[in-house]
Amino acid sequence: MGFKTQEKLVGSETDFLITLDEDAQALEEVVVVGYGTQKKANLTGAVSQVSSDAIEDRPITNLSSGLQGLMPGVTVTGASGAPGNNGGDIRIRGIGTWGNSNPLIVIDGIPGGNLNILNPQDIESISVLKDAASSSIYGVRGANGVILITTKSGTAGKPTLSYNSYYGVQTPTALPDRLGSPEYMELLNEAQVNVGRNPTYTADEIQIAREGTDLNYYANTNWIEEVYKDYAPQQNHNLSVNGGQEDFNYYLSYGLLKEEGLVVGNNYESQRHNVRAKLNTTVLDRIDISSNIGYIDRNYIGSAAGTGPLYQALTIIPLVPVRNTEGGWGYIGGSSNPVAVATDSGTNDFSSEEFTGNVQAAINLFKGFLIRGRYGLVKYNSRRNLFERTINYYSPDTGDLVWQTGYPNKITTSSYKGTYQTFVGTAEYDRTFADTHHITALLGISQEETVNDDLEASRTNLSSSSVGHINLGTENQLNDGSNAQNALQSVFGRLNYGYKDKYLAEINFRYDGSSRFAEDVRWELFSAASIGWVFTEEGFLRDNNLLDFGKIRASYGTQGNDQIANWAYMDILGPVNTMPIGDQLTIGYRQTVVGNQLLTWESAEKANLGIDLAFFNNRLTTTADYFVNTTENILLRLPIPDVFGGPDYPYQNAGSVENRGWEFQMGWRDDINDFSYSLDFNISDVKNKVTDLGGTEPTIGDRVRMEGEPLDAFYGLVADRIAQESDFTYNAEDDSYTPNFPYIQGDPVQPGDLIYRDLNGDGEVDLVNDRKVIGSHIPRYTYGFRGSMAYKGFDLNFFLQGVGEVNGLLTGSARHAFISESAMPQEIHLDRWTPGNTDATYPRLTYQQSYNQRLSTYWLEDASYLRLKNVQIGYTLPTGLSEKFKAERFRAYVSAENLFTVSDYFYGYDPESPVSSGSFYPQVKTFTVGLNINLK
Amino acid sequence: MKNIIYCCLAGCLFFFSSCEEDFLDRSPTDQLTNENFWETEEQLILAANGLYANVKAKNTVDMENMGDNTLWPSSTQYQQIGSGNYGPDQNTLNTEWTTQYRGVRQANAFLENYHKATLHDPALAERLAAEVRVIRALMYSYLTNFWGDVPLVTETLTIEELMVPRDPQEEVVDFLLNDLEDAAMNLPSEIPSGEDLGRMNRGAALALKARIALYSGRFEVAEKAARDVMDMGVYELFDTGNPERNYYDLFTYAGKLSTGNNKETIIARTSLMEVDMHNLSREIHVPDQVIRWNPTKSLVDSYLMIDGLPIEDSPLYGVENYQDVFENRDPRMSQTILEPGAEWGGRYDGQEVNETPEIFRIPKFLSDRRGAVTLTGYYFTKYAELSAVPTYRRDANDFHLLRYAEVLLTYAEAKLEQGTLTQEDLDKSINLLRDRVGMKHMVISEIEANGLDLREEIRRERRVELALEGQRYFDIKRWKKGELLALDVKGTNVNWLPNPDTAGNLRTDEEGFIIAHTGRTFDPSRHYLWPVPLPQLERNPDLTQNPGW
Repeated sequence: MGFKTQEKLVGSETDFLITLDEDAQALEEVVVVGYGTQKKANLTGAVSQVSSDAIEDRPITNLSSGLQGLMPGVTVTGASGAPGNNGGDIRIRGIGTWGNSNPLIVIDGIPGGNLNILNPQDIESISVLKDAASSSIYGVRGANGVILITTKSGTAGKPTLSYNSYYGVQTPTALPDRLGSPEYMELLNEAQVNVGRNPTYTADEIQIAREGTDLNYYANTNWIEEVYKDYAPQQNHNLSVNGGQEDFNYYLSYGLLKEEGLVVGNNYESQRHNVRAKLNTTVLDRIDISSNIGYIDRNYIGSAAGTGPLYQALTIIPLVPVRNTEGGWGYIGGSSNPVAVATDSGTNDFSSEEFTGNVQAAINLFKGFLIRGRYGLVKYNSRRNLFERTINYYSPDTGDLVWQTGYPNKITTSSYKGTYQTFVGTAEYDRTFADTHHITALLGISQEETVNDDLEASRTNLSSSSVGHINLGTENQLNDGSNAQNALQSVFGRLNYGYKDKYLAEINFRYDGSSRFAEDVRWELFSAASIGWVFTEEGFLRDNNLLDFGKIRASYGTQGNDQIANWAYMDILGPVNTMPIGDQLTIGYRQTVVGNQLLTWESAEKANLGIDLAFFNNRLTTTADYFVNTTENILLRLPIPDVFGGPDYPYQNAGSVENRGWEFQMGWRDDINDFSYSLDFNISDVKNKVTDLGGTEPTIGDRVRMEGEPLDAFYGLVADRIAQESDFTYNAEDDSYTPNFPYIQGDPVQPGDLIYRDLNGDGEVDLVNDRKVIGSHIPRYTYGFRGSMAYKGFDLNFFLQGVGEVNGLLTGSARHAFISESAMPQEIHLDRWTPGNTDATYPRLTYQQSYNQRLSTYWLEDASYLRLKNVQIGYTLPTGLSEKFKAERFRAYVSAENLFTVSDYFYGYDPESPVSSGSFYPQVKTFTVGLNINLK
Repeated sequence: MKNIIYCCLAGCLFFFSSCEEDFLDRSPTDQLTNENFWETEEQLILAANGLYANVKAKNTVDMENMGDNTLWPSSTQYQQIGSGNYGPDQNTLNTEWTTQYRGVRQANAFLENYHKATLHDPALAERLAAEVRVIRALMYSYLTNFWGDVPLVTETLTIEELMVPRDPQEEVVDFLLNDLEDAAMNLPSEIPSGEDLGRMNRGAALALKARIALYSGRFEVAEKAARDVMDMGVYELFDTGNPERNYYDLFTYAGKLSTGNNKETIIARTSLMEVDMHNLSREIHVPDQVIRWNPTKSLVDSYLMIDGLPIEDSPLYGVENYQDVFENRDPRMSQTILEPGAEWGGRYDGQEVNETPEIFRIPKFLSDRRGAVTLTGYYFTKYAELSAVPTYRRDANDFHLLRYAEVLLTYAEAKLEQGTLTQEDLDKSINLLRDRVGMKHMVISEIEANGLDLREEIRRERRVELALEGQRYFDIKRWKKGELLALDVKGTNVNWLPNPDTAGNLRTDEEGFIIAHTGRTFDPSRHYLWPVPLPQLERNPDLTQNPGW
């Protein structure tokens, strides 16, 4: 907001130009909308737009994580720090479906792109279509909202060469603290005795570990420290040229991003090259031709074991040495050595070349009437080389081979090819009659097709253990392939009417046919209507000094979502490996998909009421929205009684979800002499509720789908506290404790265990009647606060971001001790209940029993947080000085991402962690220094 | 200018005309649909082969954890079931339910569609269908053993047809027995070999019928089915001519079906190197951890002395040290439980100095990660293929799901329960098993003379012969001996050990026997049947819960 925008061809072109001259005439801003642009003042739908400055110079490697907190109603979750493969999930106005709730991404007018591999420096603006009025023109794919990305274009004038670069280091935001060997052994013994088993370790053995006298079998290793490096470097370089003349302009850019990983063994790293070339020209004064070519060459490498070593760092016993005294990899049984795995287990090397091409021609046939044709092509060609190497572990005593993983070594090479093609034709009309009636109309057709072709081959027993190529494999030559395709055909249109820029009305429609559904239910019409009233244009407000602009708008409409498997309406049979019959590899066939002929898309109904206000000469701008979105006929694999016996539950159209919420956005910008500053604040809330399960039974489990409750809400027991001896009747005869409180039949409850609340008061706790919704993972009250100030050559930017209310959950080895062979004690487990430590925070340790660790309020985490997402301090050389270097602008800056976080979340993990048992790449803090140079 | 307009219009026309009707009509090119499958002989064979994926593999042996023959070092779900510490939310209950019904649907789909195919040899289609019926009956035999009454689904259900109630166990069993009889008619008698090695044949149908009938107390049917198998004359006990190894060898690579030497195994889940492997042998002797299969005192004590008497009664039984436990016992004992002096894969045992780690002498209790640690003081040797111990999941041993030995045991038990068991019956059943290992015959008159209970002895024979084959839990259930599962699990006596101090931190009873697992319970009012899994109850209100749950 707050930038005056100019455009070249007023109307509805997506490859338009925005020059970001700061200007108070904010509401003259042009906003990118579906198949066109609109003046913000004339918008009747709910659209948020940010320009490149919001993400500029932040060490963002993928755009989705950069969007977090920038716009109200847009949340990003699940981003990780893994090099090259770290995009999060974007949700617009809550989660509308339990199927695929990813919004549609449209890059320069071509739907279906990948946001996360774009070069953030190439982005001109990001526009988010949130209500039906703005997004129903995307019909069957608009239900989850639409994100429109516009890349930079050339500007007329002398060529400008820009060089932007940064170098940074990443460190994990949080890591767990594990206990050393002596404590591990003592606590293990305790946990075993607690459940009626014999302890594993004798006092002598514990002493050996404490004194370190047998480093081969009783070592004391801090595996978290061994597996994670202190930091990982990251760098980014960008070079772009842009310029042009009146009827011709160009933009060329090259970007390089390199990231290394936080894991030992140097197997994690990524690289990305982005090239973009954009040309616009006008011929014969009335034909605009533009082309936009993007090329991405990227690769990322991880360990062949994936995040395995990270999980193993949590789960391996501390008695194992990293290396034994003979220099070989340490191994004493039970679990794999994560340092060995990270270093020697081989690599998973993904590389991809992605081409996007987009040509369009627009002809101005007569005044106000334009015909436009656009062809778009997205082609990717990716490869994955998975080289799994044998790791040998030798006995330090005898030198014998005692353990081996990944034998025989194996190479799997996969090739993935995809082609997406679309043709869009539109006719547009834009006229103002008698200076009062402004009409724009758009009618379009499109068809698109996606074809994917994958091939995979593998061999074992490579003749080299260091070079991984399919040709070196000598045995077990196997191959596999798959092919998938889908298609969409559409007719769409829009009609806008404005009366003196005061009364505004708009209707949209789209008629879509999707190959994912059976013929009878294939086509559907989606539509939306919206109105706006610019009340500041009314006579009674025209001359006030306070309010510069005020508009009320309302919209209502429908959309769809067809994001399911391609052949879900058909019965499919596919091959399966079966028992070896006749002493040879045997293939069988069985049904892999049970189809549902009646399957059709999800439909969303969206209503929105909004107000836009500008005060004090447009220095203060605010926008507020209230919305109710309902998704119906949700496509889902509804858990059904398993007497069905299908390989997977078939998709059904069942149920509906409602998202009801509000958004508020406020911006302030001003200059005081040499000091200029701006502040932007946004907050939004969405209340998610499953409103209908289509007459089927609720899905019960730890994550529940139940009418009236948030989607996939946490469903568990209410834990009151840890039981004390006084809560039991002691029987000295057989040394047993009988609980004097309700408990779950079958649980061997003892002092130190959790007391669950008997919710229905029947004197017994059971999982059917005494569980309830105890929290939700859907963030509420998400907010962002962005400020920037500049004084003479100095500038300071900060970005605070947070979530007011959300729950998180860590399970298994991430949170608990001894509930399984792989659950290791952490520092916090020292405070477990024992007869001598009765005010403990952790229940008594119970070996291989997890009845205390059932999902209950005791384990649900408050994952709300406030974090300084980014802070940046820069200095720009005075023009006089920089011109000595022939530079128009020369700026240096330091920046930090995720510098600090305020949260009550479990200490060892980031509050933005997924619900997991610890098998994920940690979130990172990044510190960077950077340079911006413009040469003219 | 006009030209440009025409060009554009032509372009638009071209676009619209290219919007062919079938642009949206697409079907998979890499898979088949139900409409274009079920046509050829090859497809029928593929579909029948696919059914074999449902035959339980190592899971068969894992079910032994529910019984009282072995103790797993960690609390597996099967063990929780056996020790009575579980509820209807336990995953394994639901997994068993789900996987068995998955196999049932696959079988039903085959049986509904196989007649559509045109075959050169129509008898082949019927043979394949009969194989499928046997596998379906196997699935149902687990279902009805676990839960008693279960929905009897015999066709592929649509999603509208799923609210089915449970059918009485008697009806399910009636159906299975009839279906297996039908299947037997269409199956060849000879043991499948060559390309068919591992397929179900007539013996499989009849032997499974005998097992299901015995389990459901239909002794007459069980006897007849068992006798039908015996009368086929194609099966014989595996015998390499060495009574000291015969029985052990059957459960190693020497007994694999692919050797062609095994005419005893009737239903197997075969394994194949590089293709289908598991980890059982390593679990039995894992050389750097606690072994997963710890034989219990209860199992060890159940082996008779070589004089045919139980240890309590035999003058031959007198244990002063660990080695003595194995002296003068039923020879199957040292072919099941690892005897001092035997080869093993567990490396360094309990001896302080050890020059021969390939030979086992003394049990190991210290977790120093240099050798296989036991919780009970005993190790198994049955099912341990020593060549597969050093490597992880590279065990290609077959699983013997149903052996001729079981048919013989079933025959004897079915006769006994009908009150018609004669010495002659014993001589053509149980005494064949004893001959194989050189054990003294079971003689009715002697048993009576010694004041022993014949039923008890027949049951002992079954336990001993089938130890570690996943049958024990089902036998305990049908014999209504649930109280056995509530007993503490014990091991060897620490006073017998040459290294008692290494077992110093283990609990023992007054006599010195290791107490390896306590806190077990068995409630006869409910534990004889599993609770219907919670998710299934939640999804189908027409399902009823078993008594007591």
